[in-house]
Amino acid sequence: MLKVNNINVYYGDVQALWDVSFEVKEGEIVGLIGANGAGKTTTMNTISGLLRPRKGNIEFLGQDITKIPAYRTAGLGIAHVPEARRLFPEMTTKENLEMGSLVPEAKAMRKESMERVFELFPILKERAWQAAGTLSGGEQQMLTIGRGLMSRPKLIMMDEPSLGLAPFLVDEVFKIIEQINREGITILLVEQNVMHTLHTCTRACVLETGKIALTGTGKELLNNEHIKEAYLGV
Amino acid sequence: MSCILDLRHVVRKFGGLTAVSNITVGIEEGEIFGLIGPNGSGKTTLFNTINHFYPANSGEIIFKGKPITGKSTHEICKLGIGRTFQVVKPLRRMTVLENVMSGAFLRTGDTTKARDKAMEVLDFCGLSHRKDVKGKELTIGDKKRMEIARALAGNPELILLDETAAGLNPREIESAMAIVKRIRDSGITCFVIEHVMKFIMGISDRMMCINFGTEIARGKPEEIAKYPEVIKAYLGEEYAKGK
Repeated sequence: MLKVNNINVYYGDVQALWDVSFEVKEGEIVGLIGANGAGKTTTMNTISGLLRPRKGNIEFLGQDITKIPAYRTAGLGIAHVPEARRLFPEMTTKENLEMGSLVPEAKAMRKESMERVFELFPILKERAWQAAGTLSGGEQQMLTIGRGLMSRPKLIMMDEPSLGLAPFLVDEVFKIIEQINREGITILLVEQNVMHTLHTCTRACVLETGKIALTGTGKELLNNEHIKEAYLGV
Repeated sequence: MSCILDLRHVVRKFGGLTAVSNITVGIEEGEIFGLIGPNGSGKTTLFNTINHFYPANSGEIIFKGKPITGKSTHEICKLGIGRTFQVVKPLRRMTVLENVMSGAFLRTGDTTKARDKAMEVLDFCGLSHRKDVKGKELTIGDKKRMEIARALAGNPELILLDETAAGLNPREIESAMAIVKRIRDSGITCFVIEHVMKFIMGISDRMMCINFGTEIARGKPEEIAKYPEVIKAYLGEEYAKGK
């Protein structure tokens, strides 16, 4: 479904990604793990078109999307749930959700999509008319995921959806990720909660200083000595 | 040990919503005190009442024996309470060094002195190799660390740390824990909000869990994790089973 082929990405003169390649197949949950500054967010931003690689290319459903700008990748079926929420704080919950369905195909299905999001996150329905900035951290996180789903994506990329959530909500978010996946949406997941991620994902890639260091199934990586030492701290 | 910060019946309302409802707690000098609770339970609001970011509606806040209720945020900072923010607030176009210097200017008007102080705390926080990077370019974990450095540059006696381990992987959490312990060992009392259990359970001397703005449990980390109310409202059954 998604193929990232040998991309090099720079911020000015500083190279952030080195020859990064990986693949996400339809129906998978693929985890992207790594230390702070390893390039996880950069990878996501490149896929969604916020950054452009200097070398290499990205294919989505057979189409080369390397040069497609971010506002158009959404229309192709890629949703990006950004790190640290990035909601529109002055707008209501409902308006924030509507912002997720601006592409024509999604706009046509806006009502159903919203019903679906409210089913998944009933609390958001209660908060529909409340400004997003006044929601609690957990509610904001749900709204960010909900906004991503509003574009009717085939692939949803989530950047640290469990950031700043209470332990029981972290469990909840991972359950929701699995549920969304069961409903047929492919998922690319960046997470610092390495243990939970490796238990949830089909496969995972490990990024180290801008390079892919390892790939494997969640189980393989859980038993990998290097992963244990460098990421799990066990 | 004496009480460095004493909160008495602190209340903060937002319209009809009582975010902090009658919290009474004393933080002792030299301890690491952990505050946990579900999202929206009032933890950050409590921090905001302490430094008058959102003034308390009623109750008293006493720092080193003197009431600070009603004093302005900058006065409280000058008295010796530093803080970091959950939603990080870097000065985006300034470098890391300049960000931290802005904290040091609390105590000095001299640029050289401020720079020396900033370099010292950057070293302390393990961030000196990033000193020339712009604030906005840091990863989220490094932004959190820069906020600690900026607060420390103002020489606080008490530091309020709001979710400083968010966005760190388990290995990085260990190094963040070491930083907080070093801060305490240097004589600064730490009042810490955190959702990462490994972090807060591992560093706190005492902890409190709140929900709907009210205390539901208080005690040592190993005690607090066993309270049924804490498991129900915060940790979740899976955590209780798993660990």
